[in-house]
Amino acid sequence: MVTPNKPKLTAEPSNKIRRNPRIPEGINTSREHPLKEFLVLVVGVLGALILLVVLLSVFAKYASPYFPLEWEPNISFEEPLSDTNLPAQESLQDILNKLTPNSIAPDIQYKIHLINSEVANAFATLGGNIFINSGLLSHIESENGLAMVIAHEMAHVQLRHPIQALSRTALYQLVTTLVLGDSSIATFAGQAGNLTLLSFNRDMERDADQAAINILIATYGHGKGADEFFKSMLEEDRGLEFFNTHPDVDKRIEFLSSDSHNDSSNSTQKTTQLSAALLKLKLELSVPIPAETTSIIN
Amino acid sequence: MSALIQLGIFICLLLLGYIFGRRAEKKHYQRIFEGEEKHRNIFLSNERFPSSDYVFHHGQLVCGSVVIAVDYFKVIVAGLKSIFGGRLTSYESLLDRARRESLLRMQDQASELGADAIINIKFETSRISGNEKKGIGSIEVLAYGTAMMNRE
Repeated sequence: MVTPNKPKLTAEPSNKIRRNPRIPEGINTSREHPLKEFLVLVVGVLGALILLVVLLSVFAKYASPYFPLEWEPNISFEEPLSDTNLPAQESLQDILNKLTPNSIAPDIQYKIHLINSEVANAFATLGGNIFINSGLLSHIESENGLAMVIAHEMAHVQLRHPIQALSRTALYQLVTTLVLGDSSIATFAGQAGNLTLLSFNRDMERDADQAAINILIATYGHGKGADEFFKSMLEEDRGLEFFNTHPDVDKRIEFLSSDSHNDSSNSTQKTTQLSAALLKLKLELSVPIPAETTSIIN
Repeated sequence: MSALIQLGIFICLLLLGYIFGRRAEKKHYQRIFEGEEKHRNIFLSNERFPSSDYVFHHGQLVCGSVVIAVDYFKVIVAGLKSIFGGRLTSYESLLDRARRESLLRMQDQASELGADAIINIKFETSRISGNEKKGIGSIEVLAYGTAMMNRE
């Protein structure tokens, strides 16, 4: 206890020099190391966020079958190539029709769209829409390879992945915004949540691969050519799996080749040729187009 | 990939904030301790009227003002803490430094005037630039009082 010098109650001036006391440290501030508090907080908050993502993902997974596919908004945000390349579009539709009866939900009305884009990609969105980029064709050799990609996207629709991904992301953002508001912590929570959500994305891709190979085998009697696209994609470096939306390409190829139906020594299994329209489109894409003619073709 | 880059930027800012903030705090406390030792003879008090010790003294206004900004690390720690509530220790040390520094600046001024004491000391705090959303928080701490100088 520090006792301040009490002024004398006399009228005479005192000659005593008044000095400031030495204040004890650590009363107005904390002696604890700041990193210790930080680590406790980070572990606590990260744990809570991961738990939230897991709960929301499980909820989305089990709630999605109760939400009819017809209720999903019909999302079609890119200009399809079908106007200019009707035969190729029809060929895609033919493959889709061939695959549909062998899927686990044959009554779903899929809508397939061909997109004029050089990026090798395909995706499924709400309302049973499947988009195939024309650039994907340059990574494909046979109809089986293309069928695998289409079957993969069909599987996403059957398993209700687009609505699950959308609802859990929306719910996660809603909860974090309600709790954290618009603070710098919200950015941190967003990143942490996204990375955790990615692991669920990779699970979805694996499920879709599994369902797709089943459709392919039921349709063609074998799974040959299923890994064409991934083998071609191997040449591209995609970085660490933890930060990607899809599982590692080598792991997917390994999974597809490990399938007992895909026996390379069996010569009776033959891949089907691409249709004439698709082959034509593939050839057009593989030939570098002179700069002055691009505008006409586009 | 963009998630990786954003995470990297976040960790870099956090690390920079921690290293430089911690270094600055250590050095500043060192300067505060030295300053308090130096000015121990300029007595600080919040008494409104001069005591009998200062019958032959006259008074003059002195003030010391400090503007401080918070570093990124402290913002994040305080942000995480404010989810659960409790002491925002990362801000406490910052404001403690600001208050003590403002007293020292006032004492510097008083020492130039040859004062023996400063009485009737008051503190005032004000936010700078409204501290808009996601902006860097900065505040001013102002200490003012009456320096007592011997007439003789």
